[in-house]
Amino acid sequence: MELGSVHNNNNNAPPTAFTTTHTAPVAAGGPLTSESYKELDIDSEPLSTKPVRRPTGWMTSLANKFKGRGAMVPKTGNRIIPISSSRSTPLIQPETGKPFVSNAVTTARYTLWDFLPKQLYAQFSKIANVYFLFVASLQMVPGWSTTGQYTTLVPLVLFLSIAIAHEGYDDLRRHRQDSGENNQPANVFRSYRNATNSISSHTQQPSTASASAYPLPTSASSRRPFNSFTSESPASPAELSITIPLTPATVTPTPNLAVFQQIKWKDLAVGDIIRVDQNDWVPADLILLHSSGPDGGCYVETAALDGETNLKQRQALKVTNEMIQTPEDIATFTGCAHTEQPNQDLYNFEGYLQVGQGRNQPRYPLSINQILLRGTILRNTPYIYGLIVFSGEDTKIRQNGSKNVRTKAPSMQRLINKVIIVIFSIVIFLSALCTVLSAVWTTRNSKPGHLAWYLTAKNAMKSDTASILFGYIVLFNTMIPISLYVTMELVKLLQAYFIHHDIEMYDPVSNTPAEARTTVINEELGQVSYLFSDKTGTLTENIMVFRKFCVAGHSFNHDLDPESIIAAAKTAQENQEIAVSTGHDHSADGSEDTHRRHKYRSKAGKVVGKLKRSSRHASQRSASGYQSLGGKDAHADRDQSRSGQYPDSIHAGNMPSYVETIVPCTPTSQLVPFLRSGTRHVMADRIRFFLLSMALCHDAVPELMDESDPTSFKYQAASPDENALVAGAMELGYVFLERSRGGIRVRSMPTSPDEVPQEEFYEILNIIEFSSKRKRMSVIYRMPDGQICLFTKGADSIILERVRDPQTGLADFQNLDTPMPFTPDSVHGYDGMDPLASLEYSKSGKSRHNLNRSSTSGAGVGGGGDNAAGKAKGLTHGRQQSGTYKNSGAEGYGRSSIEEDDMGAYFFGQTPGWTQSEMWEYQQTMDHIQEYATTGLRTLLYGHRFLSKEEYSLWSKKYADAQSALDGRQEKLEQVAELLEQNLDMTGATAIEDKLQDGVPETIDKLRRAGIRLWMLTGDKRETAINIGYSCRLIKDYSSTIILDVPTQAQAHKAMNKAMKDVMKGKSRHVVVVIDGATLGIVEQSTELMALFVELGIRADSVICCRVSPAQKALVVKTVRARCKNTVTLAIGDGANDIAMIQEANVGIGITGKEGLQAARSSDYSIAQFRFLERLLFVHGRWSYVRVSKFVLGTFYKCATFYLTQGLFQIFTGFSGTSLYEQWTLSFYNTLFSSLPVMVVGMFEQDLKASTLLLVPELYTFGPRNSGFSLVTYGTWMAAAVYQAIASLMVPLWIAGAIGKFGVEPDDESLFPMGLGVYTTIVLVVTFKIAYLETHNWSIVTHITSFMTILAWFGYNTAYSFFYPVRTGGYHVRGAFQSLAAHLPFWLTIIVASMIAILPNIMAKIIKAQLYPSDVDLYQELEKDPEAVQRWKEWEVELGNQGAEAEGVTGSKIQRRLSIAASIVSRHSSRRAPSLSSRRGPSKSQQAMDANRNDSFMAVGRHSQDARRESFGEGADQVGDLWGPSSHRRGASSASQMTRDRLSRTSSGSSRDAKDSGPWSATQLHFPRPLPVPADSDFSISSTTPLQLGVRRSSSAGHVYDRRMV
Amino acid sequence: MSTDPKTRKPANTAFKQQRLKAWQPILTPKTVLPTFILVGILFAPIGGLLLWASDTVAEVVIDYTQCETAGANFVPVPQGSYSTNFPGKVDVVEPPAFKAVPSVQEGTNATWPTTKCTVKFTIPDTMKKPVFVYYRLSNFYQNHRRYVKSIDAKQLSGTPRTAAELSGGSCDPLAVYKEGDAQFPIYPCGLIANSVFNGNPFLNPFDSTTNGARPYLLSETGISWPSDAKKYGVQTYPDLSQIRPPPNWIKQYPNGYSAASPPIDVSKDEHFQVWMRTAGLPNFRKLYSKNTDDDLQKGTYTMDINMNYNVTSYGGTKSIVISTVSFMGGRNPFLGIAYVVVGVICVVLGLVFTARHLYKPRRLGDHTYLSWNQNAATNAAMANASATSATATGASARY
Repeated sequence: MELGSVHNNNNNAPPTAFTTTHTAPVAAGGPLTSESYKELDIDSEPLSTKPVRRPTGWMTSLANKFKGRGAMVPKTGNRIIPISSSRSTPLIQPETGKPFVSNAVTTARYTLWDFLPKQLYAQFSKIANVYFLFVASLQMVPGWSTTGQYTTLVPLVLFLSIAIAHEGYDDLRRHRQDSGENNQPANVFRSYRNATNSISSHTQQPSTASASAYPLPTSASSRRPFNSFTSESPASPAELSITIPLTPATVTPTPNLAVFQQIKWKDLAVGDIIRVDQNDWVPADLILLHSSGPDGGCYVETAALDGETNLKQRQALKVTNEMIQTPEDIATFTGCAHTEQPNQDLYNFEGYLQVGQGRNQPRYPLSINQILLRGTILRNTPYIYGLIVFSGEDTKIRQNGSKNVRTKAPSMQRLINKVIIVIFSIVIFLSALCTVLSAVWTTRNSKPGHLAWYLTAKNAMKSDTASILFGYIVLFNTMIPISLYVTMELVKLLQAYFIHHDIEMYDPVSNTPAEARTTVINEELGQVSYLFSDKTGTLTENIMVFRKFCVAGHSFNHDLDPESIIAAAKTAQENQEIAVSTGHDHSADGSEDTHRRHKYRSKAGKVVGKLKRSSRHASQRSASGYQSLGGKDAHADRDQSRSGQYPDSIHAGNMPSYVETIVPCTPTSQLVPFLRSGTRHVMADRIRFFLLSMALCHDAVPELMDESDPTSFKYQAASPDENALVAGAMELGYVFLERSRGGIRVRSMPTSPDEVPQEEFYEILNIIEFSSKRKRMSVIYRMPDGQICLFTKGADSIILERVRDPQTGLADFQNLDTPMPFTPDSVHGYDGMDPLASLEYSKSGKSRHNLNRSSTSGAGVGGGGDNAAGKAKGLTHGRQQSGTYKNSGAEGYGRSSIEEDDMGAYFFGQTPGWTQSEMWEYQQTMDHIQEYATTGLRTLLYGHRFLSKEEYSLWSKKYADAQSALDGRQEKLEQVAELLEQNLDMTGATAIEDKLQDGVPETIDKLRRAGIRLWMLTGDKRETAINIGYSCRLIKDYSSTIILDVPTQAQAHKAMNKAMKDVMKGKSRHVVVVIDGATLGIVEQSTELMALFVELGIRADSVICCRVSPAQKALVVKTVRARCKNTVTLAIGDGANDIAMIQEANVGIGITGKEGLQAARSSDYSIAQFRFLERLLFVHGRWSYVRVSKFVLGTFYKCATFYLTQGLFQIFTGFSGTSLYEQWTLSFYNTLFSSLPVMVVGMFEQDLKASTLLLVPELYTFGPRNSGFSLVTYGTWMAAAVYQAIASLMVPLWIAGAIGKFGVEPDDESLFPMGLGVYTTIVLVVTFKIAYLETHNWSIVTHITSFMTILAWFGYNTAYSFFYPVRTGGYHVRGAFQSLAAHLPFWLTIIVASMIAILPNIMAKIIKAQLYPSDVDLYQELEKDPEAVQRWKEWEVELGNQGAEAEGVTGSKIQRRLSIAASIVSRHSSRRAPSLSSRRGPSKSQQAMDANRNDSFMAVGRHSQDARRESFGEGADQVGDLWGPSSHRRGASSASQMTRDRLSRTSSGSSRDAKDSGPWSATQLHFPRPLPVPADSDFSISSTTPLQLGVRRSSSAGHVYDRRMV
Repeated sequence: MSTDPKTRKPANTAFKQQRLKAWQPILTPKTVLPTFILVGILFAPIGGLLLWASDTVAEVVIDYTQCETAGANFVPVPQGSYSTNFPGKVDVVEPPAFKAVPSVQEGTNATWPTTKCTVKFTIPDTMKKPVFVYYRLSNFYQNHRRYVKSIDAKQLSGTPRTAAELSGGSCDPLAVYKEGDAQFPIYPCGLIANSVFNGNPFLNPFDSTTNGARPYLLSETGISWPSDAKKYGVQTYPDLSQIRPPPNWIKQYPNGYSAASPPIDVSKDEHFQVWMRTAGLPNFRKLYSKNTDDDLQKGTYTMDINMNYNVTSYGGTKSIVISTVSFMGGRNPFLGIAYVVVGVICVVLGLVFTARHLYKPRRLGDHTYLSWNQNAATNAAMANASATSATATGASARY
C-alpha cells in the first residue's frame, strides 16, 4: 500500500477536461489565457500535508483522553482506499498500523468497567461532594462525631447513588441505542471464489432481491472467505486485526460468485462496497459508485445531519456509474480512492478516484457530490452502490458530534457558591468560636476549687481541641445542605417539564412544542439583560417569496405566486360547496403552499380588524371564499382574480415592503399577458431572457408533487431564496421541469397566444457553486442553439462589481453590430455635460423605435475576445446581451423586425424612455434595488455573459484542473471562477420578501420595556438589517442611529469616542448603533477597541451588527459576556451560523425553523417562534428565577435555622458539642422533614400570574436586578433564620427548663424530649414560612406537601418511640414521644414557641408590604382587585388592537425609513459606481431627477426636523406630532392618558418616563390608525445624492459617522 | 427520520399549564388585622388558664448546699435559697432551717463517716397527693458531650464487657482501671455512673415535728421510666474480682467487688436509672421519691440528708424540691406567661396597624409605589449607573 507517496501525474488530464491548447492572450478580466492560470497555482498534486483540522486544545485532548477516545493520531496526507472486492483482510490505517476504526459507533460514555471510576471522578469533581466526603470521613473518626458516625455518609452515598444511577440509566439507553444502530443490517458486497454452487440470481436488480434471500455459498459463512478464520459469526475487529495479511497473489483470485451479504453495521469496514436501498439509512460515509437513479444521480435527506429537510442530490462519477452496473461488475472493478482524512466539514469533500490498477490511472475528482454521509437517508432512488471511506467515529456526523461545548452554569451558581463559601465560613467560624469557648469553659471548670469533677477521671480536665473542632465541623456541616444539588436538579427538571408542556408555546403549524434541552440554567431565562438575535429565520420567517424584479430599469411587481392560487383553486373546487355552506374549513389538508396562503390571509384578516391572533378558522374561511372564485382555467384567470382579491391595503398592512412610493411597478399580472400576446417589443425579449435566466441559474431540483398534474412542481433547493426564484420563474411562465446530469429542461413561455409552450434542453457545462465567501453562483450552459452562456446571480454588490461598465451615452441596441469605440476620455466626457447625452435624451422619445432594431442573433458572440484585447479596461466589447439570443422554437426576439405594438407602448411608453441608455438602466436598476432593500426585500442581481467556444474551453480546462485538486480546491475553484465572472451583462434584479414572524415587533417592544437590550446580529446587508430593525421596532422613529463604518482602527476609535460622548450626554432618548462586519473586523483586532465598542453598545439601546460571520457573532456575545460578568446574555437563532453564538451566550435559544434544527440542537432551549420568547422569558424565566431563588434561599434558610439551634444549644452544654437531637432524626431533617415544602416552592411558586407578567414586562426587571436572590435577600432570610432559631430553641428550653418537663410524669428532663420539642417547633416554623409565608401561590400541592411533612415528622416519631432500640445511651428515645404526645403542655409549648418564632416574620412582611411595597407586592394586590382584573381583560383586547394597528403603523413609517436607509444605500452604491452617479452632469433627465431629489430633500428635512424635535423633545406627546395631524395625535395621546388614569386611578407619577415606560403607558398603543401613505411618487430615492442625505441625517441626530462623509 | 404524524401538542391540563387551583393571599389590612386580634383573643385567655393551673401546684424548694456550714443548731435557710408556692392565700409562716451534724452513713457493704443535714420546713397548707420529692442540681453539665456519651449500654444491659472491649470506647476516660500492666473493666463504666448522685442521701421519712402529724412516708420505687428498666440487666461477670467499681464509688466499695460486696443491681436500682437518664440542661431536677397515696398535711417537717455529694467544687448547688402536680403537670408559670405575652402583643399590633391604616391608608396596588414610577430622576441616574457598572440593567429611563 502506498502511503503518502507523491503522485506526479500532470500528464493525466481529467477526462472531462477539454484538451485545448488555445492560448489567446487577453487582458485581465477578459477571456482566459493559460498565462492567467499560472498565478493561480493550480496543482493537481493531491497530497495535503497540513494536518487535518480536529478539535484540538489541551482541554479537548484531555477530555478525550479521559473519555477513552484515545490519543489522537495526527492525520496527514490522504486516506488511500484500494478498491478490490476480493480483499480478505481489513485495510490497515497507515498512521496507526491498525485497521481503520470499526464502524461501530459508541455514543455511550462508559463501559461496564470504567463506569464506576469515571462516575466517581465526575461526582467528586463537584466541590460540594468532596466537602461532604471530607465531613463524612471526619465523622467516621470515633469520638469526634457529635452526630453519629454515618449520618453524613449514608445520605451522601444515597444522593451520589441517585446521581450515578441516573447517569447510568442514561448511558444504558445510549448503549441500547448504539447497539440498535450498530446492529442494523447492511448489505455488503462479497465475492467468493470457491463456491460450489453457482448463483446467478444476484444479477437481478438488487433492490428487488433482499440480500438475505441469497443463500450463502458455504456453511462456513465467514465474513472473510479467504482468510484462515472460519468463525461462524462475523469476526470481531480484534480478530481481524491480527489476521495475517495475505499476499496479493492469494487475495486476488477471480471470484466467480458475487453476492450482497447481510451483515451488521458495526462489521462494515473501510473499503467495503455496500448497497443502500431506498429509504435506508446510510451506514457510513460512502463514495457513490453507482446509482440506479437517472444518470447516476440519487437523492439524500440530510435532516439528521443538518436539519434541512429538502432533498439533496448526489451524483456518481460517470465512469464508475457506467462501469459498475451489476454486482459482477463490482467484483471485477478495481481502483483506488484517495480521500481527505476524516474531518468535520459536512459541506466539502476532497479526493479523487482512480479506476483500474496502477498509480498513473486518470484521476476523477471527488467532491461532496459523490459522498453519501452516514446519517442521511436515501430517497427517491431504488438503490446505490457505495464504497466506504470513513467508518464509525471517522464519519463526518461523528466528527461533528464530539464537539467540546462550553458547559453552561447559571450565574446564580456563582452566587450560590458565594453563599456556600459564606456558610462554610460561618461553619468554620462557629466551630472555632465554640472550640475557643469550649476551651475557656474547660479551663474555668478545671481550676482547682472549681473543678467539674464529674467530667473527668483525674483531677484536671484538658480540652481536646482537635476533637472539639472537628466535632463542631461535623455538627454544623449540614448547614450546607447535602441535598441541595440533587433537589435543585429535580426542581429544575419540573420547570423544564412545564416549559416543554406549555401549550402557549406550542406552534401548531410546525407541530413543535418548546423544549428545554438543558435544565441547568432555567433561572437565567428570568435574568436576561442582553439579547442577541439572529435576523433571518428568527425575526423573520425565512419564507421567501419572489416579489419584484427589475429588468432594464423597469420594476415589476410580482405580488402573488400563482402556484398556490392554482392549488388553492383546485382545493376550492373540491371544497367549494362545503366551504361556502358551512363556513367551515375543509381544505386544511391542502398543500403546504395553500397553507402558506392561509397564513397570509390570516394576517390580512387581522389587519382589517380581526383581533384574534392566527385565527385559523376565520382566515381559512376567507381563503376558501377566495378559492371559490378561482375558475378552472386558473392560469387565465388568476391575474384578474388576484388583483381583485388582494387590495393594496393588505400589502400595506402586512408588510412595509408593499408600499410603493418610488416608481410605480408594473404588476406581473399585466406583464404576463403582454409577454404572451405575441408582442414584439425588445423589452419583452429582455424580460423573457431574464425569466429564462431565473429558470436556469440555480441549483434546485424539481419534484413533481402530483403525477397526474404536470404543473404541480415543487422545488428543492439549498436556500429558500433560490426556491422562491425558481418558483417565481415558473409562475411567470418559465417552468423548470427536470434536472439530469447533463442539464436541465425548461418549458418556456410561448411568445404569442397561438403558440404552445416549448420544452427545451439546456446543457449544463459547469456549475460554480454558491459559497458565502463568493456570495454568488454561476452556471454555464450550452443553450439549445449551441451558444455558451454564463449565468451568474448573487448579492448585488458582488455582481455590480462584475458587471461591465455601462455603455455610456445612447443605449446601443441600434449599434450592436458595431461596438462603439469609446475611450476613457469619452467616459469622462459623458460625465461632464455631454451634449450628445442630452441630445440623446431629447431624442429618446423618438429613438424608441430605433432601439427595437436589435442585432441579429449571435452578432456579438466571440467579439469579446477580439474586442477587448486592445481596449481599455472597463470598456466593453461588443454586445452580447440577451437581445441577441435567439430562443429556439420561437422567433428570435432580438430581431430588428420586431415592431413595437400597442401593448409595448402601453407598458413602456409612458416612462421617460424605456431604455434611454444603459446608464439610465443601471441607474434605474440601482434605484430599484435600493428601493427593494429599503422596503425589506432581499435583492439579488443577475448577470450573464456569452462565451466563445475558445474562451470557454480554455477556462473549463483550468476549472477541471482546479476541480481535481485535492489541496485547497475550494480556493482554486474560486480563483478560476473569478476569471470568468467578469464583464457581465446585467440581466436583471430580483427582490425576495423575507417575512417577519408573527408578533415580532410586539415582542421586541415588550422586551425593551422589560429592560432587555437587543442586539441584532445578522449576516444580511446593512440596509436590510436596518430596515428589519425598523419594521420590528428595534429602531424607533425617533431613534438616533449611529452608523459605524470606518476603515481604520484610528478612525474607529475616534468615531466611537465621539459616539460615546454623545450617548453619555443623553442627547437622544433612543440610540441604535449599527456596525457592519468589516468594521467589526477592524474593531476586533484590538481588544481596546472591542471593549470600547461593547461599552458603546451597552450604553446604546440597541445594536445592529450586519454582515457578520458566525465567529463574529460569537465574539460579540463573548465580549459582552466578559464585560458584563453578572448579567445574563441570551442568544437566539435558528441556523447553523448561530450555533457559535448560541453556545457562547449564557442562554442559547434555538428557533426550530426553516433552516433546520442545527441551532435548536445545540441550544439550551428551543422554541418554534420568536414571539414565544416573551412567554419563555417573562413567564417561565421569571417563574423559574423566582422559584430557584426561593428554593435556594429556602434551602439555606431551613438548614441554617435548624443547625443554628444546635449551635445555640452549646451555651447550655459547656460548648462541648453535644447534639440536641438524636443522630438519625437529625440527619433526616434535610430529606424528610423540610425538603418537600421548599421543593414545592421551587416547582410551583407563581409570585404573579402569567397574564400579569405578560402584560407588564417591566416586572421582568426583577430578575436582571437580582431581586430574587442576592446577598441582601440572603441576609434577610438569614436574619429570619437566626431569630427563628433562637426563638425555636429558647422558648421550649425556657419553658422546659423551668418546669423540668413538659408535664411528663415521671420526669423527663433528658435531651431527647427537649430536642423533640425544639425540632417540632423548627419543622412547623420552617414549613410554615416556606410553604405559606414565602409562597404566594397556595395550591393544593402546597397544602398536601406541608401536611405530609408534618405528618411525616410525627409519624416518624411515633414509629421511633415504639421501635427505637432500647439499649442506647445519651438519647432516651424509646417511649418518649408517646408520653410527650399525651401531655397538653408539650403541644402548648410548641404552639407558642412557633408563634413567637414566626410572628415577627409575619409582622416584618406586613410592614414591608404596607409601607415599602415592592412592585411584586403591588401587582399581587392588583391581581386581587376585581376591577383591575377586568381592566386587564380590556387591555388584552386593546393589545390585540394594537397588534393589528402596529402592522398598519409600520406601513406609515416607510417614508422615514426610506429617507434614512436611502442615505446609507446611496453611499453604499456610490462607492461601487461613482462614475454612474456623482460625476454626472445635469442632463434634462438629470434635472427632472434633481427636482425629485429636492422634493425628497425637503421631505427628509422635514422628517429629520421632526425627528430632532422628537428626540430632544420634552414630552412624549411630541411623538404624536410625527405621523399625523397633531391634533389628531394629541387627541389620541390624551385619550391614552385618560385610559391610563382610569386604569391607575391616580394621576400622579406623570413624569415623562412614567408615561413612557409605565405599565399603563399607552402612548404607542393608542396611536390612531395611520393615515394612508400617499402615493408619493415624487418622493424618490436617488443614489445621486448621498452627501446631502447623509449630512442631513447626521445633522438631525448628530450621530452618523461615516468616513465618506467626513 | 421518520415523520411522526401524531401531534406533539401539550395536553391542556391544569397541572401542565400550571393552572392548579390556588389561593394567592396577600397581606392586606383587611386580612391581617382580624387575624392578629383573633390570635390575641385566643392566646391571652389560654395563658391566663395556664397561669392559674400552674399556680395550683404547691411547691417547696430548699437549697441545702450550705447546710454543712450551718452547725449543729438549726439556722434559717438564707433568703433566696428557698422558695415556696402554695395556691391560695397562704403565707409561709416560717422560713425553712437546716443544721448539720457528723454522722455515719451505712452502705450495703461499708460504712463511712458523713455529715447529716437536717432540713426543717413548714407546710402551711395541705399538699394534695401525689407528692413528689426531687433533688435538684444546678450548674451540673450532664449534657456535656464527654459526659453524655460516657456510658456503655451493653455493659449496663448485663453483657460482661472486657477491658479490651471497653478501652477506647465510649466510656472513656472511665472505662478501665489500670493496675500496672493489667487492665480491669470498670463496672458500671463511664462518667455518668461514676458521678451518680450517691448513697441514699435523703433519709425517709419526712419527720413531722409539729401538730402530731404522722411521719410522711415516701416511696422510692416507680420513680424511673418504665422503658428504662429494659435497658438494664444484672451484670453477669463471672469473676467479680476482675471488675472494678468506678472511682467515686470507693466509699461504698472500699475493697472493690467481691461475692460479698457485689455491684449494685442496676436493673433494680431506680435511683441509678434516674441518674443515668441524663438531663438536657445544666440545671435539672430528678425524681427521688413520691407518695401517691397520702396528702402532705400542713405542719412542720424535718428531713435528713447525708451530705455525700460535692457540688461546691464546681460551683453548683443542690436543692430539695417537694411538689404536687396540676392537670398541666408541675409548676410552670412560663408557659402561661408566654401565651399571655403573645396574646397581648398580637392585640397591640392589631390595634397599631388599625390606627396606622385609619390614619394613613395605602391604597391597594398604588402605582406611585412602583419602582419605575418612584422617581424618574433617580431612575435615570440609576440607569446611567447601571450602564456604567453594567451589572444591573433595569428599566431604563430611555424608552
